[in-house]
Amino acid sequence: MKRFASALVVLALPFLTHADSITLTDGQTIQGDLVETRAGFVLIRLPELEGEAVRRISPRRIESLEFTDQGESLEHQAQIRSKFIPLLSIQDGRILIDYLNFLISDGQPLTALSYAKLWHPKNNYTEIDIPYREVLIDSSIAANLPEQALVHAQNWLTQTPPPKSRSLPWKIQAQHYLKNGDYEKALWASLTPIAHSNQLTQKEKIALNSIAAQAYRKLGYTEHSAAYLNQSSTPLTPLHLEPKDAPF
Amino acid sequence: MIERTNSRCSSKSHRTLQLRYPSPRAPKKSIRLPSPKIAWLAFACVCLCSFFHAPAQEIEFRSLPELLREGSEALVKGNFPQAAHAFNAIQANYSEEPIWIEGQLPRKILPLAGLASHKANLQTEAIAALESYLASYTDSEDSEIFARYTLASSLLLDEQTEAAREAFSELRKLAGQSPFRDLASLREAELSESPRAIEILQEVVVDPASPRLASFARLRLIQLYLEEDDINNASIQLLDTNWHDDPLPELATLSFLASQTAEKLADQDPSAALRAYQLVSPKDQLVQVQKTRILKLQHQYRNLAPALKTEQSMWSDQFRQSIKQLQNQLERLREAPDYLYAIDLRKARCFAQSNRPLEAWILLQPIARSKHELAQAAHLEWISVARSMHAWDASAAIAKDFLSTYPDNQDIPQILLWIALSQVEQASFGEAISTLESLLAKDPPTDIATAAHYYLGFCYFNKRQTTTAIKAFETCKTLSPKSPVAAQAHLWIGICQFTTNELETAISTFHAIQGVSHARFLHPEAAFRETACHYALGALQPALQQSQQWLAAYQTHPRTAEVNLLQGDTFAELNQIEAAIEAYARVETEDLQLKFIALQKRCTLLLETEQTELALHALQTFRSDDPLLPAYIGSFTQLLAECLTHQEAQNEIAAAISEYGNDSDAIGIIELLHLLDAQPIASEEFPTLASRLIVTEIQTHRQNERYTEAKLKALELASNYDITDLPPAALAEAGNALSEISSLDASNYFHRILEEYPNSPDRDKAYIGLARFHTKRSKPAEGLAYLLQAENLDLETLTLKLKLENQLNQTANAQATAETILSERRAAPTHKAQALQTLAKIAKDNGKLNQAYAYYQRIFTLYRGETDYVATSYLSCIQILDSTNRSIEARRVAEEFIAQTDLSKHPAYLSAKRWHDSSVETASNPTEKQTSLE
Repeated sequence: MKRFASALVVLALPFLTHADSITLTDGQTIQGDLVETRAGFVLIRLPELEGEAVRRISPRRIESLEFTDQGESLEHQAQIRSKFIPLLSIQDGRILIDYLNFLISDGQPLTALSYAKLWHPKNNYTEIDIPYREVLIDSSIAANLPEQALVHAQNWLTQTPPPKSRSLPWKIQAQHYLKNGDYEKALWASLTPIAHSNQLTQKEKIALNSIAAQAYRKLGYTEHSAAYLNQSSTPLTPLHLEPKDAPF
Repeated sequence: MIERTNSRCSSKSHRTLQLRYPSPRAPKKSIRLPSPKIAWLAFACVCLCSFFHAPAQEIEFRSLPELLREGSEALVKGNFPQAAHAFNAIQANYSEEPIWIEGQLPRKILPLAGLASHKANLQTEAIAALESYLASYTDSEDSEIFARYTLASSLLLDEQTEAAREAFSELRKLAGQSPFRDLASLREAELSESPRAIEILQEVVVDPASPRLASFARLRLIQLYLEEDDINNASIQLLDTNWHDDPLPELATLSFLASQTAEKLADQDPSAALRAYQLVSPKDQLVQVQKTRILKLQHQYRNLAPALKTEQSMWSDQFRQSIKQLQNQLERLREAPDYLYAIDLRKARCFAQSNRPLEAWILLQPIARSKHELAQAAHLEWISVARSMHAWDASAAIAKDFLSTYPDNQDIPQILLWIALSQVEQASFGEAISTLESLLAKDPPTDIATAAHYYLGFCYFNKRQTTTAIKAFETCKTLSPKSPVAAQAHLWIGICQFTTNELETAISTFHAIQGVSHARFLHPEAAFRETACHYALGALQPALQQSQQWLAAYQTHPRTAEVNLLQGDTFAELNQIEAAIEAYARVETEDLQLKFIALQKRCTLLLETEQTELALHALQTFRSDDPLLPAYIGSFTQLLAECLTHQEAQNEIAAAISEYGNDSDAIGIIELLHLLDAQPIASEEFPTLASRLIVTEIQTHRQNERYTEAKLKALELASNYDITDLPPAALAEAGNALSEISSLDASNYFHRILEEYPNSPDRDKAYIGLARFHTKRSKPAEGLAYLLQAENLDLETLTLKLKLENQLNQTANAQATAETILSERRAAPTHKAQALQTLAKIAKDNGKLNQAYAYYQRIFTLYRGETDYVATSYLSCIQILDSTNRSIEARRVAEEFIAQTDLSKHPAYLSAKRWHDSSVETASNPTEKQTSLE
């Protein structure tokens, strides 16, 4: 009898290990293949032995989703998860970001941009909001769409509170000001993350300091310009500037 | 296999007696029988134990394998007392047995007994087991290292500090490149005095066996350096090597030490302090990192726990303890107040000290705007930062914001003073005066009141209200007579007297300052001013003598160049031309304006004395040594032209026009254009130069009284040229032309002169233009405000000023202006008539009818050509006489007026005539009612 039971378990294992599952708010678990979200309902294809092919479940009843496709390609994992973004765990949400970054590095920035535009609004995690926004800007730049990058940067900067410690949106905004000849605005924008952040990478620091240096030079502060280009030096002369575009 | 009961008693120390052997069962493992001697000894031992420690007598019934299993299982579960109990029982029960003596058993059991006892806080047993193991049974380096580490730790817990330190030291030397070496070093450092601890930790940092422990060592080193007040080395450790990119487990410690180091670095090296502050992680980040660490550790533990071997059971315990510790830390971290603003405030100070005020501003602004307890401090610093940037508008706005946010703050007088200073810096003297007066109304502390009176004096001086200025400076002196600011106020009193031409009084004031010992820092300045007064008074010998004494006494004073210039002027007045030329040549200064003035005067004298070559040489030397500022190009080129042949001069002038003509800042180009034989062709490519050519045309038209052509040309400047291309002279012409046609655009042209060319000679034209513009638009107050800012008012403008003062009922000012006009020899009859009329009206309003009558009489007696004034004056005289019941005299004056038939169309004439006729009728028929005068 014991041997028979063991055999059953062994037979059932391959099937069970490949099943996705939905944990409901009442603690019940439903296993099957997560298919998609249609008309707001999550569709799960149940194992044939259950007698019902596809079951529709209201998202309100769903506590969590679990996928069992860890062995699959990143693209596969991302595509499956993209159908259930509001219900994903944060780890599954991060898989989408990984995939978008992969697309950018793989020379498919337009695809990354399209997906990011589609997926970002559905994301509920503040923790991965920033990576989404970074992907939107990075993919726009990689796709040679600077205006779009600017729009995404500006959208980001209108958040409350503004992302003072993140360099990317400020850099894009500052570059735009510099290009338009709004040198003082370029200065304030480039210096904001420099002042606030303690997490800037060397590359980010160089980029922001370079914008600040150009803006200072254009405004006639050559010593400050040189000091910002050469990051280790301190300007000796006091900066006399009546700001017109200072943040108030 | 022989199974037998092996009952023994243990003779244990007090601490060992804590152990209980609950199992009644005997060991089951086959063990050789003890020798009779051993049996005897055992028996004796049993007896002794029963005698001395009867209640502690224990009988071990478990077999060796049972004890081994029990010990191992307890170790895995982290039940160290039970494990220690089991392993120590083995040692106690079998240490005399051959199986022990053979060495295999103690080799395995002693380290475990040591570890378990150590963990169960049975340090004596642990020490005994481990010492025994190390003395006789070590079989591998790893085991030895581990045993030594546990032994040293037990010694430490057993309060044998020195022995523990030595044990760690020994381990450090033996451990090779094992992480235990670094662990031992860290422990040894903890037990050592600072200097030795620092040496040990430095060794770990320089050559770490474990990067993680190296980070620990670095952090501990920084802490020790900070305790020793060795900021330099603390900063080197903190900043000169990167911290690992991965989230550092000791991020909170790093943040704490970084903020401490930064605090100590802030004054001496704000840039380094900033780098240190950048290592302070925000609270949110620390919480996040801590959560991640806990999750990671829990995950590791879950994965690792089933696979941990018996001897690795300590790791289980370690994991559990670590997780618990981390969770406690996380709770404490969560409960701690957020320190972001406190750090940002400090960072802002460092940025400000590093001449990077914009970053300071960026950090301070959100704190100042918040409800945080540091908001007020941040707001004050924000004002300071704006002031340090000379951002006067902004600093005043931020300060006003502070006043409205913290109306009851005790620093309000200081803030008001800052606002006033911002207004002074912007030359908004009127606003500064009202700010200072509201400051003084708040009963400020004496030092602030003293400063406020000083700046009040300064503002009034700049508004040319010297009497009020002197009063304010006097109050400043009275409030803090011994203060440096009082001495400066004294100097300003002298300057006020100088500017109002009270030269003798000014001389006494400046002389008096030189006798005040606490005003020593002002002695050279006062002496210079006194010399200037003598010169202005025409007392050339005293001026010369004083300048010579001054130059002998204060050779390196910044005023030296000015004194040389003054001496040159004095020599020139004394007609000692060569001496004057020499004095001017001695003017050596970096102030290019002063240097150029000296050159100009010197060359003028050289040219007058026909020393053309020397003048040419001086000019050429100046041109090669110093940059020729656009402001001086006109004067310079004119002097140069005088030294050259006609053709050479024409070439120089053409070259100057070509080089500077299109530069809006260049002054004197129009004068050069007038000197040029052939005017250059106006080109769209050089719009500024083209506009200057038009200005020359306008001036030529005006000289030739072709006013319409001049006006049309001026309008051409406004219509054909971009305002940004026009130099000040062209802006003034265009502005005036637009003002005449009542265009609203006119004011833009005048404002541009003031904003873009504040030092231009055409600045007064802008003020006067704006005054006329506003007067035309029936805004006399604005008009007068602009007019008062002009430095030099001609008679035309003084008359406008008089008119505006009359309109605004500024009687005293109007009287002063009228008297100024009357004292001007060049004043035209119109100007004088208007001035007299004003004085008459003021006298009349003050009830001084005789005085008023005299003024009116002067008008129609002396300025008969000014028909309007004559007519109104006649009528006013008639009114005065009539009102004082002097009808006969009134009729006589009226008759004189009526006789002026050329005035017959004037309304005053008609009024006077009506009155006269009525008066005559009334005189003949007293019942008739007299017509009143209008």
